[in-house]
Amino acid sequence: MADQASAAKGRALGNVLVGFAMLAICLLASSVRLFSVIKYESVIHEFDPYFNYRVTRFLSEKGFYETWDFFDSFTWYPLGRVVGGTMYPGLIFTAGTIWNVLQKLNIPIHVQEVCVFTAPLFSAFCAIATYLFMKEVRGQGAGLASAAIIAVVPSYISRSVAGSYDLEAVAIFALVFVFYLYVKTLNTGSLAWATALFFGYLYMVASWGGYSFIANLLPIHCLACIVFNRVSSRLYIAYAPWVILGALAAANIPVIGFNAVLMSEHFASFFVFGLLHAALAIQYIHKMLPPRSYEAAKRLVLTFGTTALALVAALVVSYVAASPTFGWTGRSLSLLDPTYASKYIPIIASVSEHQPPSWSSYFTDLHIASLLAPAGLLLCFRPLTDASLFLLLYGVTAVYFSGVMVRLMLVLAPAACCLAGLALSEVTSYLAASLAASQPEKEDKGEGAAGEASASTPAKPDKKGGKQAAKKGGAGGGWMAGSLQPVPRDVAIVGLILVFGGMSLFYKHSVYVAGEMYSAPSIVLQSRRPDGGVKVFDDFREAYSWLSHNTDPDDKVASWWDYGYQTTAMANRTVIVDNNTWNNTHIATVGRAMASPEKKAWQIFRSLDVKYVFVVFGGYIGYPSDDINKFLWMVRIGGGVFPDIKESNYLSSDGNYRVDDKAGKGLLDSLMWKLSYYRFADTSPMFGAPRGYDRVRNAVIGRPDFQLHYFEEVFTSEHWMMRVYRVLDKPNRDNRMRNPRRSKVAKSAAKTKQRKASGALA
Amino acid sequence: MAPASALLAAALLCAAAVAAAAAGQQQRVLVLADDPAAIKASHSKFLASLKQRGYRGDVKAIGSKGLQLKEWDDWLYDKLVIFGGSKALGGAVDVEQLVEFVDAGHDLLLAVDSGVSEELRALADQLGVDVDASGHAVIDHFSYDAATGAKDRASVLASNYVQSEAVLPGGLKAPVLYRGVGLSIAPGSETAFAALRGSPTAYSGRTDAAQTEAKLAGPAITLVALVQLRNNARVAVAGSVDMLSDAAFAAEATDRNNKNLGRVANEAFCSAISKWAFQERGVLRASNLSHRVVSGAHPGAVKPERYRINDEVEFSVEIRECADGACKPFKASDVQVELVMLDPYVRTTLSHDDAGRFSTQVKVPDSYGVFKWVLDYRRLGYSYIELTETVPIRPFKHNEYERFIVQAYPYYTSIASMMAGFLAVGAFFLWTK
Repeated sequence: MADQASAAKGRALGNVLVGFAMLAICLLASSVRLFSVIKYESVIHEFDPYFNYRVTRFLSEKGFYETWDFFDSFTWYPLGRVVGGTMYPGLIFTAGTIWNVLQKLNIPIHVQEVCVFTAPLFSAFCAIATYLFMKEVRGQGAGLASAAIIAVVPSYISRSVAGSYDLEAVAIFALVFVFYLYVKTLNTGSLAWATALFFGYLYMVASWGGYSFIANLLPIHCLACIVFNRVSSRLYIAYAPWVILGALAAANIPVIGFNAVLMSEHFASFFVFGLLHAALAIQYIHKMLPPRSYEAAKRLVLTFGTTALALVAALVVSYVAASPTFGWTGRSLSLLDPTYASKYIPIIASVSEHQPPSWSSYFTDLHIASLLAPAGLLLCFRPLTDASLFLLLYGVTAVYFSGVMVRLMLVLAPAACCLAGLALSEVTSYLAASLAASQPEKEDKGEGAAGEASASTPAKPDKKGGKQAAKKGGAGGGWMAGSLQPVPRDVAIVGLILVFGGMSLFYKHSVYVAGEMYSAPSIVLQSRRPDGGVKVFDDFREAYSWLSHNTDPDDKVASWWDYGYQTTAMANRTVIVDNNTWNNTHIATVGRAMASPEKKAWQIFRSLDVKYVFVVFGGYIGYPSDDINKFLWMVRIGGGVFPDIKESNYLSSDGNYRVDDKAGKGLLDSLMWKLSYYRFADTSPMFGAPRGYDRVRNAVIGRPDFQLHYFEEVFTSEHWMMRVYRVLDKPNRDNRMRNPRRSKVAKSAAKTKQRKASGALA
Repeated sequence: MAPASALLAAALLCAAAVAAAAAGQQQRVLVLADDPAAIKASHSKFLASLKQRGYRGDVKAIGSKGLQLKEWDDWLYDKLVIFGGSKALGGAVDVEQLVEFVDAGHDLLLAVDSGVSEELRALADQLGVDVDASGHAVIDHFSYDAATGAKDRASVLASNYVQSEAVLPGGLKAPVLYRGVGLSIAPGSETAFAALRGSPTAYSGRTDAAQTEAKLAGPAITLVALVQLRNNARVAVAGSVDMLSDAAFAAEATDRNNKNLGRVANEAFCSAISKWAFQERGVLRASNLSHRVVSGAHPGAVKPERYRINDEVEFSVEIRECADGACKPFKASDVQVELVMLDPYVRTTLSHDDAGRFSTQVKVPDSYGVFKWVLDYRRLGYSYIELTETVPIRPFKHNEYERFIVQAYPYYTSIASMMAGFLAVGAFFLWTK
C-alpha cells in the first residue's frame, strides 16, 4: 500500500520534472533562434520567406477567403500567378491566424513581427511533438533526450531562425506531429487518434510539399508490418482511414488537387491499402477455413489473383509509361534518381539547396546526432515494436533522401535526433542503473542525478493494448538489466561524464552555429573590420526602396528570378519572373535576354513591357553570389528553351568560364556583362589593384570600356551590389537612317574609294 | 549691346506673354532666316497667311546673337519656321536645342536649299530626312517650267503629291513649281513620308555638269517631306525655299512646249503643308477610354479592376478629328483594338456611332493573366493614337463554380446510395442479435 503510494508519488515527481524539463527545452529551442534578431534586426530573411510574408500581409488585409482565391497580377507579368492555387497555405494561414488572434486580444502587432517569430515558436512546438513521438516509441526518457537534441540541432536551426519565414518553419513540426499521431494510433488502436491523425496530416499537407515523404513512409511501414507478420487491428485503424481521408485532405489543397490520385508519389499508399486488406482477408480466411480447404482456396486465389494482378500491373505500367516523367513530378524524380535534375531540369539543378550535401555538412548540421543515430538504429531492434520499426524506417529513408539534396537534411534532422535521443536515453539509463545497482542505498540520489534518464525507467501503466505494454514494460532498464550486467561504478561515472561532455560539446557547437552561420538574413550582409567593428552592407534594401520611391507603381522590373520575391515584397513592383519557378519558358526568356547582346535584349524586355532591369554585382566588394557567377545557369536555362543561346559561346576557348581577356565572346557581348561592368573600370574598388579588377573572380575584366545604347543607368547602390537600369523608350525620331540611294558628294566618294583601296592593301 | 538686346527681348517676351494670355490661344511662332528683311519682302504672302491663321511672332536672323528659343525651362515659341540658308545658327540655339524643341512636342517647318548650312543638314538628318549633297538640285528634262527653268531645267513642275485627306484634302488642281534640292527618306522610316515626290523623269544632279548616272531619281526624290515624330510633334522639310515665295505663289506654269498651264498650286500646297505641320489638320484626339463588364462576375462594372475569364465586356473610346480649328467626330471603319497578353488574344474592329464613340463588345479569353487593351492607330497623315489599359483577367474563385453539375449525377447517386447502405448495415449490425 505504502509502496504503491510512494511509486505514485515518484511518478508524479517525475512528471513534474518532465514538465519543467520540457518547458526549459522549449524556451531554449525558441531563444537559440533569436540570434538573427539580436545580431541583425527583426526582418524577413532570404528569398522565399518574402513571398510568404507578402501573402500573409495580403491575408491580414483581405482575409482568408481572398487569400485562398488570390490571383496575383504583380508577378510573372504578364502571365500572373494563381497564388491561392499554387501555394501551400499552411504557414501563411497559421501566421495569419496568430495575427488575427493577437488583434482580437487587442495586441497591436505588425504582421511582419508575427512572421518573424513564427519559426522560433514552432520549433518549440516541434520539440514537444518530438517528445510525444519518442514517448510513444520508447518512453519518456527517450522523449526528453530527443526533444533536448532537436531543440538545438543545427540543421533545423538553419531553416527556423527568427525571420526565416519559410514553409519548413512549421512543416517540420507538422511532420513530427503526424508521426506522433500515427504511432499513437498504432499503439492505442483508437479511432479518435485516427481522426486526429487525419487532421494532423491535413495540416501537414497544407504546409509543405514534403508531405509526400509521409505519404510514402507510412505505406512502407505498413508493408513492413505485413511482411514481418505484424498485421493487427491497430495497424488497420492507423493506416486504412489515413489512406482514404488523407487522399481527400490532399485533394482539397488546391496546389495538389487531383495529383493526390494521379501522381505516382501517391500510388504506394493505395497499393499497400489493397495489400493490407488482402493480408487481413487471408488472416480471416485462414482462421475460418479448415486447413485443407484453405490450401485449395489459396491455390484458386493465387491463380486468379496472379492473372488479375498482371492485368492491373499492365494497366498501371502503361499509364505510367504514357507520361514522359513516368507520372512523377520532376522534383520527386530527382529524389529517386539524383542525377535526373542535372541532366534534364537545369532550373532545379541551379538551386544550391538542391545539390547533394558534402560530408562535412552532416557533421556541421547534426554534430553528435550523426554519431549517436546509428546506435539508435540498433536500439530500435531491442525490442522491435511497431513504433520502433516505424522510427527505424523513417531513419533509413531520411538518410537516403538527405544524400540527394541538401534541403532534405531537414527531414533527416528529426530522425537523427530521435535515434540519437533513443541511444542517449538508453545509454544514460543503463549507466545510471549501473550506478544505482552499485549503491542501492542511495537510490534516490541516483534518480535525481540521472534526472531525465530515470524518468524513462517506469513503464506506462495506463497503456492499452496489453501485449504492447508488456513489451514496453521490459524496455527501459528492463532488457538492460536482463541481458547485460551492470558496469562497475567507476566506469559508469566515467561513462556518464563522457555522455554529458559530448552533449555539452554539441550544445556549444549548436549555439555557435546558430549565432554565426545560420542567422544571416542574406539581405543584409555583415563583415568584420580589422578593428573588430562590423561593417554592414545594406545594398539590397537600398535598391529596393529606391525602386519603390522612384518608379511608377505600374512599372515592370526584370531581374534574374532569385530576386523576384524580394522585389515584389520590398519594392512593391511587378516582376517578370520570381522564385516560384512554375514557368520555365518565361524564366528562359529572361535568361535569354540577359545572355543576348544589348539590342536584342532591349527588344525582349520591351516586348515584356519591362521598364527597369537590375543586376546584382559583387565584383566591387567581393560578394560571390552575384549574377555574373549565376550567369551560366541563365545561359543553360535560356539555351534549354531557345537553342540560339549556346553555352560554348560564353566560355573561353579552353572551356572555362572566366571574365578576363580570354572570356568567351558571347559573355563579353551579353547584356549581363554590360549591366554588371558598366563604368566599373572607372572606379577603384581596391587600393593598388589594376584598372577593372574584379574582386570576386580575381581577374582584370576582359572588356572594361563600352557604352550602353538601349539602357540607362539610373541607380547603383553604395557598394555596387545592386545596379538598376532603365530600359530606354523607342526613340522619338527615326534619325540617321540614310537613304541608300542618296547621291554622294564627289569628295566623300573619293575618300571612300581611297579607304577601300587602303583596306584592300592591308 | 548684347545685354540691352537681351533686356529688350525679355521685355518683348513679357509683352508677348501678356498679349498671348490676352489673345487666348494665340500661338507664338518664330521665323528664322538668313536675312529677315529679304524674307519679309519675298515671302510676305506666306508670312501673312500665318498671321491670318492666328500665329503671332517675329522674323529673326538665323545668326543673331540674341537668338533664344527657351528661357529656363520655358519654351518661348510653339512653332518654328526656318528658311535655311548657309548661315550658322546663332545665339543659344544649336541643333541639339532644335531637336529638343521638337522632342518637347513643338512643330517645325524647315525649308532648305542646295546651299544649306551643315547645321541645318544635321538637323534634317536628326529628324529622319536626308538632304542631298551640296550643289545638287532636282532636275527634270521633261516636266520643267519653261518660263523660269528653260536653261538649267531645275525649275520642275511636280504633281506627284501624297494622296491623303488629312494632309491635302481635295488634292491639287495644278502642278507645284519647285526649285531646290532633293530630299530623301530612308525606306525603313516609320515617321517620315513624302508630301511631294519627283516625277518619274526627275533626278538629282548638278546643273553645271552632264550626268549619266543618278542615284537619286524618280519618285525616290522627295521634294517635301513630312515627319510625324512618335510624340506626335510634326515637322515639314521642304527642299526649296523658293516654293514658298510670293513669286512662286503668283507664278504661271509653262510646260516644255511653252503651253501655259495656268496658276501653279504652290499657295494651296504650302498652306496645306504648313497647316498640317502646325497641327491644324489631321489631328486625332482620343478621350474617354472606358470598358465595362456586360455580363459575367460583376455585370455593369465600369472600368473594373479585374475581369473574370469569359466575361462579356464592352470597350469604348471617343475619337475626334480636329481640322481647321474645329473638332468633329472621327469617322473611320479601320480602328482596331486588341486584348494582349504577350500575343493578341482578341483583335477586333471598333464600330462607331457617327458621334465619335468607337466601341465593341468582346468575350474575354478563357485564360487568365495580365491582359491589356491596346489601341494603336497609325494612319498616314493622322496623329498617332496609342492607348493601353491594363486589366488582369482572373480565374474563377473557388465558390464561383457551379455547385452541382449534370455529368456528376451518377456520382452523387452513388454517394447517396453508399451512405444509405452504410446506415442500413450499421442499423442492422447494431440492432439485430
